[in-house]
Amino acid sequence: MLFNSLDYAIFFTVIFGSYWYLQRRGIRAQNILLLLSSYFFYGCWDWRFLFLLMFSTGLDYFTGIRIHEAKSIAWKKAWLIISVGINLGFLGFFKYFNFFIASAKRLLGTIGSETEFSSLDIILPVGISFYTFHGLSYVFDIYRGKIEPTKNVVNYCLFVSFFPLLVAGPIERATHLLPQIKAKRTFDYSKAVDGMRQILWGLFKKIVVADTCAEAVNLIFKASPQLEGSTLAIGAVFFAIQIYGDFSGYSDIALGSARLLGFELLQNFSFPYFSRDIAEFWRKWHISLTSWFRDYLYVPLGGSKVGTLRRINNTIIVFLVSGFWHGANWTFIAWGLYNAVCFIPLLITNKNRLNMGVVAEGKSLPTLKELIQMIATFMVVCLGWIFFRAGSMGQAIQYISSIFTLKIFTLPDNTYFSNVIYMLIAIMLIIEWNGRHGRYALENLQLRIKTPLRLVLYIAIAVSIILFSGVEEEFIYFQF
Amino acid sequence: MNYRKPIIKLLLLIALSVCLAIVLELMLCSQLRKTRYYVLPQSVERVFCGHSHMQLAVNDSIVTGSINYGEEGETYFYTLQKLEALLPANPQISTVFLEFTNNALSKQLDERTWRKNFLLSKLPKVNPFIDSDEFMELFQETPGNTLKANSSFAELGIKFLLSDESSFPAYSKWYRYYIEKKSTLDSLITAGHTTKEIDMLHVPSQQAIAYIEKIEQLCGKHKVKLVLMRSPTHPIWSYRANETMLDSVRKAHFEDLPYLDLGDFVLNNKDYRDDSHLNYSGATKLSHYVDSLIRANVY
Repeated sequence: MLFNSLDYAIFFTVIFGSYWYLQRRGIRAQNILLLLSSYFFYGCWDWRFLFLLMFSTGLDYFTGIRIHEAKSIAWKKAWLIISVGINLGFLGFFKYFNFFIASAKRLLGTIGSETEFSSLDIILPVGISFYTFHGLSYVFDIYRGKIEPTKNVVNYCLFVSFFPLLVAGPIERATHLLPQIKAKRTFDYSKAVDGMRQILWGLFKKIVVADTCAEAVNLIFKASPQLEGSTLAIGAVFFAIQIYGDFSGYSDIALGSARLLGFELLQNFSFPYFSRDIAEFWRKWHISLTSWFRDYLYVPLGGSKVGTLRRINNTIIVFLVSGFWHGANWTFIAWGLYNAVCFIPLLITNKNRLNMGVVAEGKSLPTLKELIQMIATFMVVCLGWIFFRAGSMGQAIQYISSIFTLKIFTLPDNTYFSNVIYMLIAIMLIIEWNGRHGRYALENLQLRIKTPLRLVLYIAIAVSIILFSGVEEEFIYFQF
Repeated sequence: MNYRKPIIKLLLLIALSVCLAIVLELMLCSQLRKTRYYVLPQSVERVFCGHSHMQLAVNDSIVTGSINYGEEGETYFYTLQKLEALLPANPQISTVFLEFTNNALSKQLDERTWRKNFLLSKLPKVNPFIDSDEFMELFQETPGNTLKANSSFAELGIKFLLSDESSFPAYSKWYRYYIEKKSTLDSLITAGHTTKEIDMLHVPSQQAIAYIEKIEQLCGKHKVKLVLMRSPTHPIWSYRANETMLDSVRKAHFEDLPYLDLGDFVLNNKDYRDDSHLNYSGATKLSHYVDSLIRANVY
């Protein structure tokens, strides 16, 4: 059930109405409804993997209690290792088994050794990377004493499988979401309107902008060996827009859906393409994942409290693991390494925390310096996205090397681009720029624009969503 | 209850947006019905249309003054729309050669009009010419995909109008003659090709008959000669088993129409891509023959 489908619209409307109707019966009834609907939602993807989700949920529930009740550090650690080991074991098997087999075969082949390893026909369970990390954050926080385990099975199961975030995040924290699940929720009209507004904007970014860019991107990447550098460069830019529109659009729909049900999820994107350096970009892109790696990998490795060399080492590890988390392909590892290499100079020169606020805060336009910084950062990021999108290292290298030729100065092949794509990207960026002080572009629009104009904007966005909904592209991050 | 208010407002917003979207789409259709988007060179006097058999069989660079708009999987439903676009815009067109072959008249292929992959690829290209009855026909079969195809058309149409292109068929990729160099027929025969029994093979398609009749009326209206044409297929092709059905349909409904039956046109196995399609070599031979008929004023 895709977020941008009629099925989801009907499903959510039914759940929304039932959920608030049950308000009089108390939070337990509401939570049970949400849990059952979350399992239904997940089952629509593939009912077979419901059991895996339930097993992972049960494992973390059980080990969380054991960690908390353990009398010694050794036993706490043991239970933690059990939870982490089994969770990562499942993740490793489903996601990385064939990758390791293929890589081992290739490696042994280079030294002349034949192997009889064979890959398996494994289906990747939707959302496994996300709900595994949900559960792990819970057991880690219990181990560190940040929270106590919940004995309420329904509440815990709901924390892991809450449908807005189940298949593609944001990766929530128990410290943030569990208290909301336990607390009474009352209907708030202004929050509901805010949620709908965020869903509308998410649908626009996904359906109108991202899916339109996707058509051109698919053609360009398919034909990349025959294309000129200028066309390929624009293709990389379009992919950058596509992945942003796709993933941030999904996150907006998830957050908006949750807000309609009275929940506030973690913000996942904060206008990353307006970043002035790569460090700022990584504070604003897929925030829930980067903060997860910061808190559960970087900090345990020493964080910022170690020497420069160790910090560099730890930064590389985090980026490599982050790349690997995205997919079982050397291209993702290369993408992680590329971003590490771009980040490290800022780390060494202590300039990684220079740009902490909103760019051009309080002003309508950036300064020339800020504009140059944003464009330069965007170009650096775009280059990295080529690894992300390419099917193989060979294709990525061929793509990048074809860009950096004199042919980059030739006119791009316009059969791949239409004026519509440029227009849509411009519209999205203008609206995002104007809304960059909020959590999402249309937040608090009622404070910035009068009602008639606001209504016209909503209708224009809704009409464009209807007109551009012909092609259904799956969300990119569902593959993770 | 308070929580109903946002639902009501949302439904109102959706209703208003849907109405506006429909109006915009109708305006788009109206704009894209203009003949200037379908003008062909004056030298084009003949149109070849049908499905993949025609698409691979007639090389329009060999046949004098012709254009081949055959397209894989195309049913007469979509051919009618193409001709509704082309004939008013090109009064110089004197003849339409319409594929009339064993599988095109079999009921088994009816679902290619509304099967998802065909509908989504073909309807957007000819949407301006679909009338309300035809729209309802598709909608009743597959409402979700019909609406999706309409959205695809809207996107395609907007992109076209904002581009520098002047030909909608070229922009939306109405398929043309396709050069196929492969020949797999001999390997099919060597591998033991057997004639299979096909479901509904002998059942004539009422849809196909109805739309050929509409095409006939359309050609009559524009004083264009309609010629039914069967392109060559190999005798081992399973659909050849319904010769009787094909012949009886033609005699019952289209006996007045000229029929260029090249089903058994003499070719070598190497001239076929497979048991029912020609390759470049076969198309060249066939096209020269058709061209000679045209030059001799037979058609």
